[in-house]
This record gives sequence, structure tokens and C-alpha cells, in this order.
Amino acid sequence: MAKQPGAIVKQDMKQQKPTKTSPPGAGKDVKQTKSMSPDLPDQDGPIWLAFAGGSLALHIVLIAFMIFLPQIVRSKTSNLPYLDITLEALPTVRPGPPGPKDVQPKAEAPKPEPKVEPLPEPKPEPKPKPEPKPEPVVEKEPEKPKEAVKLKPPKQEPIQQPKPAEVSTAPPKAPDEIPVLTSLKKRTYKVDVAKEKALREIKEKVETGRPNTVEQALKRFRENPGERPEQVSATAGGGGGRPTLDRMGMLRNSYIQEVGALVEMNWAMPESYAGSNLEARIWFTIHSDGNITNVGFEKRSGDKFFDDSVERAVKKSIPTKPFPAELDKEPFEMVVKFTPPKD
Amino acid sequence: MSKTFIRTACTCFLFLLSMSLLAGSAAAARYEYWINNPFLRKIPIAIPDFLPQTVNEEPRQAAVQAREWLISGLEFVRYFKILPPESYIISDGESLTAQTINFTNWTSIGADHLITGGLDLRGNVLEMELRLFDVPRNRLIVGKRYKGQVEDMRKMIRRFCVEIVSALTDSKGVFGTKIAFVSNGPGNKEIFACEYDGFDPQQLTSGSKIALSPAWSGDGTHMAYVSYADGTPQIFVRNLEQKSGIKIAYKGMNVTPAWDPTRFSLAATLSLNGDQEIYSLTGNGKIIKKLTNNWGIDVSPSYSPDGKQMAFVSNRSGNPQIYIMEMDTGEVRRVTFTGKYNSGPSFSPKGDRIAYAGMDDGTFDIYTVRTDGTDVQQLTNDPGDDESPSWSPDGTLIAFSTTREGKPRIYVMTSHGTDQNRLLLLDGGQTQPAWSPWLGDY
Repeated sequence: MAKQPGAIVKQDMKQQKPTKTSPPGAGKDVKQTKSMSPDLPDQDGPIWLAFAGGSLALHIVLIAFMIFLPQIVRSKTSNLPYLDITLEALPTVRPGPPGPKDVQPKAEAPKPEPKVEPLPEPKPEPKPKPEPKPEPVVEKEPEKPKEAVKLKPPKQEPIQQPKPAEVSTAPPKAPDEIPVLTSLKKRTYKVDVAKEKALREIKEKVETGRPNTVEQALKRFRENPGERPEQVSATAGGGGGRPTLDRMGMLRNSYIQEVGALVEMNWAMPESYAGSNLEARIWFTIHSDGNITNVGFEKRSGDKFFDDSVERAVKKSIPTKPFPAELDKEPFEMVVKFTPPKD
Repeated sequence: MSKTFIRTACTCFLFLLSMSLLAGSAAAARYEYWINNPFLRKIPIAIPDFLPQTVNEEPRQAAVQAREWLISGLEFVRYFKILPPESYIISDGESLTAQTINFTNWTSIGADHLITGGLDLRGNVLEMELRLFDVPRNRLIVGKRYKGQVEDMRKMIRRFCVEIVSALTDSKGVFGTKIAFVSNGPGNKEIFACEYDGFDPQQLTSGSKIALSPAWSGDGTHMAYVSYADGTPQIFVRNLEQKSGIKIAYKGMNVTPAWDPTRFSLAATLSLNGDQEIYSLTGNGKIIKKLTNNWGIDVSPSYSPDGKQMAFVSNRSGNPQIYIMEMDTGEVRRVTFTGKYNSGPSFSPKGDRIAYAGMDDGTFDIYTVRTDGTDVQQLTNDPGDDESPSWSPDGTLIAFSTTREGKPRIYVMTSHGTDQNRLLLLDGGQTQPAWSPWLGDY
């Protein structure tokens, strides 16, 4: 990018120098204009036009580049730096190059110590390990003291015997007995409602299968339009948008509402992000058959969990509903902005 | 020359113009949509039954147990929703690896993630493979194989939970932490500690007569607590690894110890001259400085994560309220202005909020407030007393004690007040939970 403007500026300079000097033409700039001066008087206008035109065109091309460039660059950014730890001797290996950082530390944690410690296993050598197997069995007793370092020793015993008892009592597994309090004032009240709804919807989804989700989303949206007062669907673009909303525009807008509602339904965001001021923008191309391609971030929030959750929301929405019959079949781009709710 | 030049320029111009027009029209077809209300507030995860590699009974039982522990571990953090197994659509031949998994089916039931597990048990040696998949993106996120004795199964599960949380979030989560608390189960109050989820409670002290106010040092190696073993309240600082310790026994009372998370030093309330004031002390009990100097009672210090601020309770305004002191300047400002009685402040690990117990209507409830005193949120509201909030080190959860069941119990909830569940059930009553920092792969 940086080079292009520079190049263009240089060209402009070259072109403009002569044009500037020519109008005053007469006296002082004689030296420079000498060679040109015979031609200049007659063709002053046209040449100026030609240069200006060329310059204008170059600028327009530059702008076009600026508009297009993000799209080209985007394809790169859509490759998330994802953890791709593969197990030894397992054919799950993904071609995905990202995530080398994580691979190393994990690989280094070797298991060779015959300890019982279930260290994460290194991928490369699967077979050598089976041999140490018998050792741990024998070392059963001595090992406990080893782990004693951190309050361990007493711990091991209870694990064996009172296991069943502990399991039933210790963890907060018995939420059934304890009514979860819903009277948590305004903020948490909403959350509970939302959660109930979410569960209900999941059940429905499961029952009815996927095809209906768009209709459900749309229905929900129609029934409770006030639920999302801040929602905005706007046409925007590098070209300045469209002056009037023709029928095609309206069709497309309502289709976009449906897609947006589906993505929203598929968006699972941990409660703890509520109230934070994160923002992520994802863009993608929608095709007439409902397929979505070129999913990529226009803006990341910087929080990995949040960013992943919004990307998954889009990916889970593929394929979305096909275009309505009357809508222009031309694929178009859509940008979805995700922000956490205020509470 | 000039004419050809003009012609070239014009052609060039027309060409470029048409190009740019094309570009312009393409760029215009771009539509925005804003979503600010996620439909689900937890991440949906599917965890189908673990597959025993051999058909014997023991591996089968182990597989059931391992899956149960994994589920309870993930449910504990309260941002995962385990999808009900009845909804799972499992294709023939689907096993542990990505090749065999039909991701479309998992997407259709709304799963963001899928965890598969397989294990083999031979004699006493357990081998377990666990994998976490990103369902919409059809890819493996993290996979691990563990081998050890069967008694270590829970540890394997816990380690994989750490893998999951660190792969998905920027934090290590709570799986490598413990919670200390006071229990009078032994007949008198003693300090206990259990794993993050209430598993395996262990008694840490004995012969204290009364033991109170457990506090973990910033690195988790030491615990300070108050003991009445010698009659008057004294602060014991104990090295948890070496089981050694020292006593802080100044004249009068020595209570409410709190560690500076950034160094081996603590703040505590002493009554050297009769008046209760907060002092800063070395980890070995030497007085560094008198921090408060006020006619009223100043107690219950809690440091900010950077050690630069300290919240505490003072009744200098007539009734107990929360204040914050800037450690550099000693400047003090009041944080709570609502309620007649506010106590037990606890700085959040992010340093942006303070949790405390406040009484307005006759019982204590847990509140949080921004450090500038704005945005008070009431997290609990029940007939019992909810007190002693303590944040998990990742800031997502808060442990507290409550009398909602009658006897005091330790409960855990999210930092937004949702999902309030009992941590553990023990004889007697339990109070004053203190969440440890990350203790490593214990």
C-alpha cells in the first residue's frame, strides 16, 4: 500500500510541473518551458485535460485498490491461529500450519519418567511408551510420597475409598435440590429468562431439525421486534450506497434480517462478557443458494474466546436460507458487527 | 506526438474510469448487521459417551466415571452448557478422530464444540485419549493422551480441562486452584481446603481452638490464618509445602490477614494501642508500617492485584463501609454509599471491581461495585446471610458463605450472580472461603 501512493504522487508531480509552468508561460520560467513553449499555447486545454484525466483515473484506481485490498488481504486473516495439537500415531493430523507455538511446549513435556503423572504425551513417539506401563503398577506406593510435595499424600487415600460418597456430595452436582435463586434483581433476572429461552430453543431445534431454524428465528424476530431495539441493518459501502430503496433493496434487506437473526441465534457468548465493550466485525459473502464463503474478520475484539464465539456463530449458520426467488442472484457481502449486551 | 499522446491518455483514462466504476459498484454491495444480544449465554458442548477400547466391565465403568468428571468439571466453570445426550446423532463408525466424525450432525444439534474420549484399562494402568473439536470449523483444537494409574484418572481429567480452557480462552481457568475455608466439623473451627470444585476436602490445621480468616499468599505457597490456640487471636503464617510456620503475636488482637499478591508481605489488623488499625507486615511478621490512623475500627484489608491499592472496612463514617487506600500516598476514599453495613471486601483479579457483603434489609447479601463507587450490583438475594465473597483467580466466579440452608455453607456463583450452587457438603458449618491463586499442575 505504502508504495503505491508514493508512485502515484511521483507521477503527478511529473505531470503537473509542466502544466503549472505553462499558463504563466511568458517571462520568468523561460528555461524550463523553452522546449515545450512552441506547442503549448494552442493545446493548452486538451493536454491539461488529458493529464488531469489520467491523474483522476489513477486516483480512482487507487481508491478502488483501497476498497479491494482488504478483501484480498482478508483471505489471509481468516486463517485463525488455531491450536492444532495432534495425537501421536493418529491420523487426525490437520494440514493447518498454524499453531506451531503450542506444539513445541507440549511436545517437550515428555513422559519418560515412569511416574504415574499423566503428563501430556509427546506426539512423535507413540510406541516406546507402552513399555514403561508395567513400572507404574509396581511403583504404586512409592509414588504417592513423591507427589506429596503439594498436600498430595492425604489426598490419594480418600480418592479410592470414599470416592462414591465424595462424588455425590462434594461437587455442586446436586443443583436440583438447591433452587437456583432467580430473584437477583434486574440484571440477573433477564439472564435467567434468556437462559430458559435458550434451553427451550435448543430443545426445539433438536426436535425440528435444522431447516426450520431460519423460520424460527424470523418468527421470533417478528414476534418480539422490540427485543433488539438497537439492531441496525443498513446498506453501506465504499460507493456511497443507494439513493433510493427499490423493491430489490427491500427484498435484500429483509433477507439480511433473516440471516442476521439466524447468526444471532447461533451466537453463544459466555455470560462473563456482558457489559464489556468488546466489538468484533466479521464479513462474508452470501450466495444465492444460501452458502456463505470468505468468512473473515474485518475487526477482531482482541479477546480470543469472544472472537472465536462470533466466528463460530457465522460458521454454524452455513448454509443459511437461499435467496428468495425474486432477489437478484448476485452474491453479496455482509458485515456483521458483534457487541456484548450491556448487562 | 502530442495527438498520439492525447489519444493514449484518453484511452487510458476511459479504461481506468471503467475499471474504477466496476470496482465502485462491487464495493457498494456490502451490507451491515449488528448483533448485540447473543441468544445463548453459555458455550454448547457435546460430550458423547467415552469409548472403552476393550469390552470388559472395568474399562466400561471407568469410561462412565471419566465422562462424568469431565462434565462436572466443565459445568463448574459455568460458561459451558453440556448438551443432553438424547439429542446426539451419532453416525455408524463414528469414533474418536476427526476423520470419523460427521460434523454436520453435531452442528445440527447446535454444538459449538465436541469432546471425544477413549480409554483402556489394563490391570491398574489407565490410558486415556481426549480430544476437543471445533464443530463449525470441523477441526481438532487439542488432543491429549494420558497414561497412569487408575487412581489418577481424576487428575488426567483435570489436566484436560486445563487444556480445554487454555485453548479456548486467554486464561488458565480455575482447575488448578483450591478453596480454603473454615469448618467447625471437628468440634471447633479449623481451616480446611478442597479442590476448586469441592472435591477432596482436607483439614489443614488442628488444635486451634478457633481458626479463622484463611488467606493464600500470592504464589500459593503460604497460608496465613488467625488462631486462638494461645488464647488471644494471633496470626499464623504457614509454609504449605514444608509445613513450617511462624506466629504473629503482637499485644492485643491480630486478625484479618491479607496478602499483597505481588510480594511476601501482608496487611493485618492489630490493636497494639487498643485501637484497631491496619498495619503492613513482612511475611515473617515484622511491622513495616501503620497504614491507617483513625479513631474508628479499620479491618479486613484486601489488596488490588497490582498491590497498589487496598480495600478495607472502616466505621469512621459511623457505620461500617468499604474504603480504598492508595498505597503510595495513603490517600483514602470511600467506595460504598448504600446500605448500613458493608464488610468483607475482596478485590477482583482484574482490579476493576470489589465484591463485598452488604446489609440493607436485615440480612447480608453479596454485592459488587466498581472501584470508583459506581455501578453497584446485587448478586444474591435470599433469606439467609451471604458473606465473605472471594474471587476465583480468573475472575469468573465468586465463592461465598451462606446460611440459606440453615447451617452455613460455601456456595459458588458467577461474578454476575448466576448459577449459585453449593460447593460441598461437610459435617458442621463452613464459612470464610478463600480462593487460592493458580497453584500449577498439582
